[in-house]
Amino acid sequence: MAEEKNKNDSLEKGKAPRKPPKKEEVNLYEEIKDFDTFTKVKEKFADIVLDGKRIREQHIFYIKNENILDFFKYLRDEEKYDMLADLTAIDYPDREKRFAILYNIYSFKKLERLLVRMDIADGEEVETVSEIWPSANWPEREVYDMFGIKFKNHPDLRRILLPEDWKTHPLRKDFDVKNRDQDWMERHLGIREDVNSGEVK
Amino acid sequence: MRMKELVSKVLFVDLIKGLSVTFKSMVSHAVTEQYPKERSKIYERFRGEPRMAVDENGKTKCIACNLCAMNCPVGCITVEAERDPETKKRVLTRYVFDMQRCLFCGFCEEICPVNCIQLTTDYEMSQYDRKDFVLELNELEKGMEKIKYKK
Amino acid sequence: MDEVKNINKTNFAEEFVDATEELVLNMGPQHPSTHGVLRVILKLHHEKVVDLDCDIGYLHRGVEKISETLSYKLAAPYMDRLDYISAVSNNLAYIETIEKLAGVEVPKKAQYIRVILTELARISSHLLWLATHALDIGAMTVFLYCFREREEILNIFEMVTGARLTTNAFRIGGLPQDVPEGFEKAVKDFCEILPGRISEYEALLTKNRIWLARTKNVGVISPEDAIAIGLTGPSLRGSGVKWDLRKAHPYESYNEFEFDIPTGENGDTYDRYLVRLEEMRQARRIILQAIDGIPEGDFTAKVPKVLKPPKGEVYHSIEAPKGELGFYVISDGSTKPYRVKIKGPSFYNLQALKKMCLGHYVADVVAIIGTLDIVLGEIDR
Ligand code: SF4
Ligand code: SF4
Repeated sequence: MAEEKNKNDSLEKGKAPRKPPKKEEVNLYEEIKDFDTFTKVKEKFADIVLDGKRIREQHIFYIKNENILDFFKYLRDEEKYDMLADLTAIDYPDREKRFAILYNIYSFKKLERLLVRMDIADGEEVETVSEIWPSANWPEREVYDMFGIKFKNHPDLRRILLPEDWKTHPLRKDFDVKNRDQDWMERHLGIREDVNSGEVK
Repeated sequence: MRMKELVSKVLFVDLIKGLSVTFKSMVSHAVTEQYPKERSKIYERFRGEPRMAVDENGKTKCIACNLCAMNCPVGCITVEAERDPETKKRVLTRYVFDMQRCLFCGFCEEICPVNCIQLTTDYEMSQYDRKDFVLELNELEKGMEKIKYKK
Repeated sequence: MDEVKNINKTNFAEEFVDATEELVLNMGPQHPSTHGVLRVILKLHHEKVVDLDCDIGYLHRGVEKISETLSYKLAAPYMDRLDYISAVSNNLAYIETIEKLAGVEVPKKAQYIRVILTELARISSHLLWLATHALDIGAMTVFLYCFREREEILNIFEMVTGARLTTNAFRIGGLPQDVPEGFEKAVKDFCEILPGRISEYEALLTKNRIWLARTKNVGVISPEDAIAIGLTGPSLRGSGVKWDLRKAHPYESYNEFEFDIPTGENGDTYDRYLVRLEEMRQARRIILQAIDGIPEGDFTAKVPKVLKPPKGEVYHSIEAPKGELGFYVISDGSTKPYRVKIKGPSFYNLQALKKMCLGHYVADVVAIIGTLDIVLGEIDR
């Protein structure tokens, strides 16, 4: 308690006299200009590709969760994005479509990186891309493990980092250390924590 | 080409070449240190055991600004302070440093405005008991009590 | 009584073959040659691997979750602990991502010193890789020699940053402090001895018949497969793909230095070994160029005490010793990142293990795990 108080008044003390001038909101997102791939996919997949943005020299496409396999196959075969460098998800609990899946693909021919973002709702299933890029196998398992997003037709959708019988999905924003799986800990480690004090019984 | 390879294989050229390196290092000087007797050179910037500085009068330099606690990634520093009713200054009442959790990242040392908390070049920090790692202010000023291993 | 008769009747040899048709062997997590706590479940037919599954996560510490709760600056020491063998590279990747997000321009001097330290980290990582890889295959001597040289690098790290392993070397905007006196001399001294030492390893290994037998044509992966499975770094270059982020997307000041990208031909363990050895020499070349050209100037840029990058998201990756190490950071305009995703090279490289091991002997699995140069701290995060 005392520590809390200290923190507060030192914060106030330090900040009050020199309030920084209000900065304008910097908008890092720019519209895409002269990007061949974007014009092509925009034409070809008009109903999937929603938008495209550029941020710090990096192109991001926003797509809908429909027929994504065709879209990605096109990107791999025609546009030569031959490596899936990364695949992850982001949790926005306040949004209607709660999760965003991010594909990070790379072209060795063009030396180009492309981010593709797709919003999905909680419980919605996503088609796996591990057929197209085999490297998606583990990252998809990781996303399933950490966020609880299911991938359709995935060859081997199990938890990867956490134990198989673990219940929660820790990278969701509503997960807290306090609601970690106490039953699991009791079963396997023989301990149970008091969630508030952190004491181990 | 094949003949040459065969000859070198029969004559164990590859192994002799390797062994020559081994024999060379056999006669060169040793690179190891006999630890407790010999100590390696510790550089000035080494981040080791924490220590709190005192001023000439033996009082702590700490002004209880709490910056070190706020800049610690793991939160292993606890600063407790009171406001002195006369001078209106904050006075340190308790300072606890939990060394078990410390990452030795050096952020606290960097941020301290009066150079009070310092990470010294002492590196022998082993203790027999976990609670000995939680250092109070007086221990931080003197340095940890070292356990000497006796036969 | 009946049973005994039955046993007598059966043909033992046939029975034996049937029984060993498929044997499940559990390798790890406490196996020394898995370089950490990797558990590999092997399905064997006689002594050949027919199937394989990796069980990872024993070292999961939730770094991504932790960094969501810390300010941008404070999460940096955690990143050192991902790939603890080359902590400097991890730190650089994270710090650079934040700098890119916040639009911080780093002074040239800091960039040069960063290059020197990360290249030293690359050499130290490759040395440790060579040491353990050789030890796995049975060459104990190399192990000791490599650690001797690595010690010198760790001494330089200690001199500059204050720690030997988890260095926390850089800060957002530059360096925490200027390099100490004697830094240049120490680095130059090290560069002096390095080529001789590398040729010592070569004398011990490159032509050695046991080494050749254990590494040639083991764990072969074609460039197409390597790309598809997401291999990066020396493991990819061993297959002949000439791709290096330092050349493809130069960060820091890498475009000012001359160096070559070594590649292999066959994509086997031996080629990857040669690639890594050559990479050490190239790293030395970069260091020598950088140390002679350290410009005058500040060692850090002006960065606000409380950093609040604008709203946005950035992916930035560097060529870490093990491959492409990337960070994807989302900022919501506050002092803490909204999401940090770590793309560790080892995580993707380890996926190739199955492809590379199938059809090989159990003993080769050890060699292949070694050649992939994985570090579990980064896989499990
Ligand atoms: S060195 Fe780092 S972890 Fe340790 S007390 Fe200081 S700020 Fe905290
Ligand atoms: S930063 Fe220094 S002066 Fe401030 S509380 Fe910590 S030790 Fe004391």
